[in-house]
Amino acid sequence: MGGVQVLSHTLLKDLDPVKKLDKIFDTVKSGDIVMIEGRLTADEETTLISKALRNVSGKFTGIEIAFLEGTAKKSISQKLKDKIVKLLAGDRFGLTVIGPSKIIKEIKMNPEKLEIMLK
Amino acid sequence: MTSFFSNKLFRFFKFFKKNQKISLGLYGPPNAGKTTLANLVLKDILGEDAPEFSTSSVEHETRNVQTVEKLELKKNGRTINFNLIDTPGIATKIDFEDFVHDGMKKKEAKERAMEATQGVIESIKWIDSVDAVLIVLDSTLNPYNQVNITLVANLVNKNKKIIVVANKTDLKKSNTEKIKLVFPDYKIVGISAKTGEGIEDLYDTIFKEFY
Repeated sequence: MGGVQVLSHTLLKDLDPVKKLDKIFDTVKSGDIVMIEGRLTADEETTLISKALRNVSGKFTGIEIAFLEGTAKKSISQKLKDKIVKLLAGDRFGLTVIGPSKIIKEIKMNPEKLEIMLK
Repeated sequence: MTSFFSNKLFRFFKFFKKNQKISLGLYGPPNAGKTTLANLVLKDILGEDAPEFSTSSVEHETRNVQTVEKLELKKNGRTINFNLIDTPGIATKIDFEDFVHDGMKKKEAKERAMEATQGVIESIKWIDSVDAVLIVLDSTLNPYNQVNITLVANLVNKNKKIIVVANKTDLKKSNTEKIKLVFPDYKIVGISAKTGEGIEDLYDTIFKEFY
């Protein structure tokens, strides 16, 4: 492994939360970096972190996770449009990157850019 | 008339609320100074009899949730009764080889890594048990990372009261303003848990936000 998998919002939205996190985690544990359209909820992110730590071993040391919002400054009308779309279609704005920390050394975040530093 | 009774009722409940004990959690990433802050608070309240938790420059020194119960913070004639909960630093990865690099033997490093992972899981579980949280961040580091953002979002979702503590203001690289930019919606207090600088501001803010 060691590839990149991009998972669409459509693929994940119909999965129940447990299966969704299992899919993401199993992919990351197998050594791939996962990119997700949109973002996980705070609860899902916390559950994923706990799950990763419960699985820490010599071969798997945990995960790196980061979210790119895309646009740091939005107008009020754009924020309103985003909320309506979010309400109708779920949270599909931005990009979430999750990868195994054995491969990713660090993800440097800022609201408009992610820098993924590989080992 | 209704308003009169609702005001009375509000004061009645507020009185009992003020006499309630709150569970105050110290949360944040590893090596941010949570335990140093806990030791400072305990010394301020309990004096020389205060227990002193172990601190270290090596990450994950705190690997169990440490609690001290029945504390009273007094200021300007007011008192907050609370239990202090010092938690292991939240991280998304723990590699025993990092501890080896810090000079530990492989066996010791593996044990520490195992305990540290359990500690983080325990920290996350304890979020449900706290009423209010001091999120302790190292103000010399970039605060914009997913662990900090997830932690704050999770606490907000669970309706926990939050103060962000920008620690290590005694260091040259300290940048409290950057923390204010990343978390503009929360009270930010700059302190040095090592020297005690800013601690009275933190106590004032605790009374403002949690009392």
